[in-house]
Amino acid sequence: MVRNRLRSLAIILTLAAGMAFTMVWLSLGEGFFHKLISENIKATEGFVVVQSPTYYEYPSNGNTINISASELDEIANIKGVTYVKPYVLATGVVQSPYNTKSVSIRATDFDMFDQVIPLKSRIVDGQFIDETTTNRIVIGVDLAEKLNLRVGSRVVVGASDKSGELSMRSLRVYGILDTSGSEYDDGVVLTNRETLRSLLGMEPDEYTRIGLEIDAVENLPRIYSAMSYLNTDTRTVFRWDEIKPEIVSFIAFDRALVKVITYMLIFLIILGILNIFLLSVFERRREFSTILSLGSSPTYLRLQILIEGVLYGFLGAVIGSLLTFLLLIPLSRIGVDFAKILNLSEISELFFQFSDLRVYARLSMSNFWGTFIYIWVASAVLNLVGVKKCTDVDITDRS
Amino acid sequence: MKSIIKLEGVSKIYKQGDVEVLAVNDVSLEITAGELTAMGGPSGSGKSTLLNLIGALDSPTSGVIYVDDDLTTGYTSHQQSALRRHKMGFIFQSYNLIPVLTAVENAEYVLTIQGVPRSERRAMALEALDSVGIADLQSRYPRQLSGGQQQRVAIARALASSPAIILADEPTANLDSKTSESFLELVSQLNKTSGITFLISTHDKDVMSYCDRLIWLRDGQIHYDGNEKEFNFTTN
Repeated sequence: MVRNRLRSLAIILTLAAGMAFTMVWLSLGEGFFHKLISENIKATEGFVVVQSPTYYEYPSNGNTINISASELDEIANIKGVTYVKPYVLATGVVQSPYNTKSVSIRATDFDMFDQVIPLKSRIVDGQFIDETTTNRIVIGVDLAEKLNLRVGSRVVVGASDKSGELSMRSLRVYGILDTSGSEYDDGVVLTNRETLRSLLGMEPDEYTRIGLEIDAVENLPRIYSAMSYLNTDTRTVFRWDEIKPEIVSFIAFDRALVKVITYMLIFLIILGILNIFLLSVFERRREFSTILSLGSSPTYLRLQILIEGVLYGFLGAVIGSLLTFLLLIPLSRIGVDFAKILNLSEISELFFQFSDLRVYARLSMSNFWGTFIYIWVASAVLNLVGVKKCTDVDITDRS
Repeated sequence: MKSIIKLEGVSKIYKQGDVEVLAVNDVSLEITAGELTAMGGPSGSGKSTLLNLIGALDSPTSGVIYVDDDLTTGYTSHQQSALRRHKMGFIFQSYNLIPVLTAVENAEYVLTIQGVPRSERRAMALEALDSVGIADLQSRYPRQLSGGQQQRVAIARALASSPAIILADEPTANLDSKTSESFLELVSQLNKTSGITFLISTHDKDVMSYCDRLIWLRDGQIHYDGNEKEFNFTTN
């Protein structure tokens, strides 16, 4: 293999390219899942959530927690916590002179919330609410259309209060937003916390949920652990995957899909590797015939080809690793903007909550070593076909 | 003189589809050590097949073959490899040098598979290259050598391990007349000085004229066995 540098180089570089391609694919897939998790969690509850232990089973308007301002400050000061989202949530109805619709009513610190999900920029009519704009609501375009509402229209918002009594308020439409997503455009009413607390009869330090954004998923275990002191009989600290099993399932499904595609890629790479080895053996048939006719034992020749295969595989995997790292430096820092690649001018049409579609490659050690060992072992095993074929020559044929 | 090759009633039948071809038909012969023998005959007469059987590259359908008093008939492929490795040298029509090895590496190849230590085998290979007059070309690859030079490397490879017998299959077929003559002089000289037994399969009358003995084959049988000068080519 040392003597025929061109052939050896071609084999090793093909193996390396196959490995780099597989690793980059897996890394981008992992980066996409990471983005999917981050963006989804960011758009919904948060990476860590404090709420009533029974809220998910019984999401009634009165199933709330009490958390003091000082406790909120303590949470905000935990290293790695970027945003604290204190939610007041309710299910209720919105009634206009024309129609009635059941909705999800949400109130939070919208100045902070807008830094996580850019809702303010989605206002198409009127204004967005803040802590000072009481008795106002923001609704989506679809809901406005169904209830025949405009900015300034009065509506009746009703919900069961803490004690289970029906509570109603007359509120004014302050703004209409268009997210191109059905959740906010059709089923959500946004108002400020004071207004919603008043509707539900809640205390000032009473919340439905406290959601946390964090700087990196890797910090989640530490932050989760640091918040454990908040656990009481009436409130529990949850991790996102405990309360969002549907996202876990969705990602597991997508990961399986990527694996299937990876296996198909790997199958193609296997065919390529097999072809290389068979071609390499085929073009050396005359050489093998000479070697055997000179008295080399078939075992000696097979051993040489076997060692060649193992070395090709190892060198291919090592060079493939270097190639992968070279490719991953820009892919993990600059990322790949799929919006540009897919020529999507409006990302929000696909993923409203995504600020962009830039995916950063992430290579896990298990994917790295898995692919490394796979390429090495697969090439060594596939080379066994060459090992068998190398002695299938007619040593009396010296043409 | 000691018999180095002995064949008794050797036949070889090939199957080509449903047809059986009798390539060698009941051949018996004996070659003594140090002989320089040519094996001639028309195309398809069985020269190469007989050479392959003697060289343990193929096994006879019937009959027995002795090499250096060892009965080689019935050898396994590993025993045949060992026999070729330790007792035979081969020179082929197309030289069959290993293209990725230099002249000296080609010359030492048989020594390598014999397990001779590197320092010893390099010295032996250089000596063999020197004996065929191309020691100065030791670092060249086959593609950098002329046909005649490649054939000399092939001779050096056959000589390096000091085999009992050198089998040559049409060794001058790809050489011009001048190079061919030079090759024959070299073989003749090596035969006389080293006492190596040569068995050369050939069409070339010049090769036959250099040899002590001519075995003429026709239809897989020995038609003539004697001195080349007494053989009448026109009637055979």
